[in-house]
Amino acid sequence: MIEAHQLHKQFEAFTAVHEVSLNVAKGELLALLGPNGAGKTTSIRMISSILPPTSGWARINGHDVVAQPDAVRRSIGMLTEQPGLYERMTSMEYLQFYGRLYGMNKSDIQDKGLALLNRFNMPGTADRRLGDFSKGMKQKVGLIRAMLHNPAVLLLDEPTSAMDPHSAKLVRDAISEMRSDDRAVVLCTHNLPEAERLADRIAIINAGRIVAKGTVAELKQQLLGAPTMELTLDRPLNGQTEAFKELIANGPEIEIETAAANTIRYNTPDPIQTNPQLIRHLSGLGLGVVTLHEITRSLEEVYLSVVSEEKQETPS
Amino acid sequence: MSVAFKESQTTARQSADETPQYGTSLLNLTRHDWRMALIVAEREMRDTTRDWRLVIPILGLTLFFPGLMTIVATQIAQYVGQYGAELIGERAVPLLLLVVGFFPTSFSLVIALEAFVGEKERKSLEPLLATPLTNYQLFTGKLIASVVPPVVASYIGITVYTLGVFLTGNGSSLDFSSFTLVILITTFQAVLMVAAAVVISSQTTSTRAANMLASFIIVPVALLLQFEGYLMAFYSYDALWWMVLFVGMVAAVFVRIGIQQFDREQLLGRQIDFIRFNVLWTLWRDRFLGRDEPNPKGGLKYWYAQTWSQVPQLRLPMILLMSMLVVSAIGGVVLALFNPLPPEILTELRGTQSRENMLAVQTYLADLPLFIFAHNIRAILLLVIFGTLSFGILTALIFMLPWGIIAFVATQFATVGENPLVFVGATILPHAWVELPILLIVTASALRWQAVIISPSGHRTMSEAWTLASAEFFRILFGFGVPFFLLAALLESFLTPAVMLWVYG
Repeated sequence: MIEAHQLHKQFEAFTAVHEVSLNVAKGELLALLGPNGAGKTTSIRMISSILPPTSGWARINGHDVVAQPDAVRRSIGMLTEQPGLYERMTSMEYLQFYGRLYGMNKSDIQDKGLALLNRFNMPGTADRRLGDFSKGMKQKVGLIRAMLHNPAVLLLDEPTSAMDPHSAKLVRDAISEMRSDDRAVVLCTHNLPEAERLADRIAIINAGRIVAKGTVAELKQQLLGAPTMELTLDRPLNGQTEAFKELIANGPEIEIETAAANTIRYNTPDPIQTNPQLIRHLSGLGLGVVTLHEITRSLEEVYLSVVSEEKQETPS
Repeated sequence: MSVAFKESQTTARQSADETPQYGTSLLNLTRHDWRMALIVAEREMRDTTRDWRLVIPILGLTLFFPGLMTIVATQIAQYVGQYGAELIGERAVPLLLLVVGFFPTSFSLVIALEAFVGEKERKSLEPLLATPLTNYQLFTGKLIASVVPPVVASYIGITVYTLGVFLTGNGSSLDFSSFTLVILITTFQAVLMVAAAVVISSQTTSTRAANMLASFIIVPVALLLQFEGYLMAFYSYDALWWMVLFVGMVAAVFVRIGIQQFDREQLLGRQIDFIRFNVLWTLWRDRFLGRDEPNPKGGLKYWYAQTWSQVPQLRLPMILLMSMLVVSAIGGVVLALFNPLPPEILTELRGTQSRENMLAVQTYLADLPLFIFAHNIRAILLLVIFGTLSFGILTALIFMLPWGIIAFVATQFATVGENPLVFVGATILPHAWVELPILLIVTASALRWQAVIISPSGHRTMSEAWTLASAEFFRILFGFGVPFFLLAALLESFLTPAVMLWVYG
């Protein structure tokens, strides 16, 4: 649905985006993460045919962003970081304006507009002026505008910023639902838990380059190393330590991080294979397993590791 | 809700594939283009009518002010009538009509100035640019939204004033011509101001900067209005018709500039207004010296070869100027046929008298090669200054002028039985074979420079394209203009008198 190949954007001497390649399939949600000024917005603007790329190409829903900008824009629903509403209009007038630009008829806009306002917990606000809305409500109207014409591709820049937790959850649920409608979604956000929860894949962009790309699990593996497991035994290892060490030397592929009393922390690249093997071996030694769980590593750790690494490599 | 979403999904996706027909210029907009532009315009106009800061003054200038002007017109007529100066009272009526028509249109500036930059400041520009609107649709919509409310207000004001004038018994002072002229001037002036304001709005980063630049519209238009008022007061309707044509042309040029310079990247990307004199100077210098090519070579010969290679690119403006030369010459002939010179002057063109006059002229010419050269260079510089101010319009008009005069004089010679071809051959041709081609090349280069603002400039910004075109003009002027104008001046001083002597002596 979204194909971008070596997109490059140069503003005079400044390289905003350097050969970015992305693919987002139908039903997939890609979270684009990166620090401020990393090139997220410029990438989104190129993908949405607002800015022409200096080199490279991109196709949205099969349409070339340079040759068919109008078809591209009709395929896209875009929520910008600040919703940018016309504050003297009512929310329905606003939706009517945008819906008509996308070729929708008035009754369709009215029906869908009302349904979406209700969906986002804003019943009875169709005739209220946008200037009277709170920040979060404005953001929701911006999102409704982007969704109104059922675009094949949704580009969302910070969709839940300025929202209260309840509204943010409503919006996240809606985004999740929209992904399942065979729609490709790109989500730019600084809210890493949100990205982790919603995204099928993550792309981290820094200084105009994609520096990491993959599923959350792949990125964690790639950037933070093998997952860390914590094992609690029914009794201390005392007396069994030598046997345990021998077991590790000849048994499953694990690397002990810490071993204290009856708790062991270890890293393993393939827990699905390793953990059952380990439990079997421990049973053979007469040790009972009370708990075995993976130590949670957040996307934030991944993100910070990538961005701080990049910062060290490219001093500004 | 999600079910309804899925049902309509196919239609929405299909419509993305059904590309409507789009216009490729403002002159061939399709029905779809107009529909989209009107959606934009409708929203803008609705917004305007909800802003009391605009509505109250427009209402005042539409209803109250014309009523007041009706009273003023009556008072002036009565006052000057006491002293037998009824004519002044009569002329005040159309003059005030002009003022009544102009005032509401001044508000068009307020609306137009924030057409783009206001959207940018409110952060509503990017969502708009992300819709399927093309540049033409968006620009046309903004233009309509900025022009229509003030012009409608102006027409209502004119109607109120006209009714008032007729009701107070001064209707006889308002003839059909003055009424039509005011309607046309008001409309074109509004389009001119709006188009210029939209250009400013699309090129600045804040409404504050746009408002500051608005002086460049208000001051010239205010001066123009005073001049039009003078012409209206003194019944110079012919001049006013020319004024309508001029204002209309300049308005069209500004509309063209607006759409040509409309650049989504610039609109979104530009954050701060600054002039980079050092960058522009470097660009100018390198282009003038020919250093901006991939492998520049030094030396005058190479510089001349580079400069000469620009000439074929001037083909289009040269064709345009040659066409204007022909039109001008035909105009000169027609004017001479319908307006023969008075008999006492025509006598001077006949036989012996003509020869004596020619010989007197040749003695002057022989002494003045530097004067002729300086005159030609001065003419070129004037052409550059006025042409730059009028985006090339006056360049073309100034170029036309001498050829029309020559044709006029040659035709007057014909009317007294002298051979006009001999006149042209003896007095013009000996130096014109050098002067005309070089004048054509230099003027074409000036025209190209001045028109760069209203023509595509590729990846360059407007200031960069303008700077580069000016460097190319000065290369042509110094490389070919100066030496060949000098040669032409020498020919005009020494060869032309000799030929005149030989032919007429």
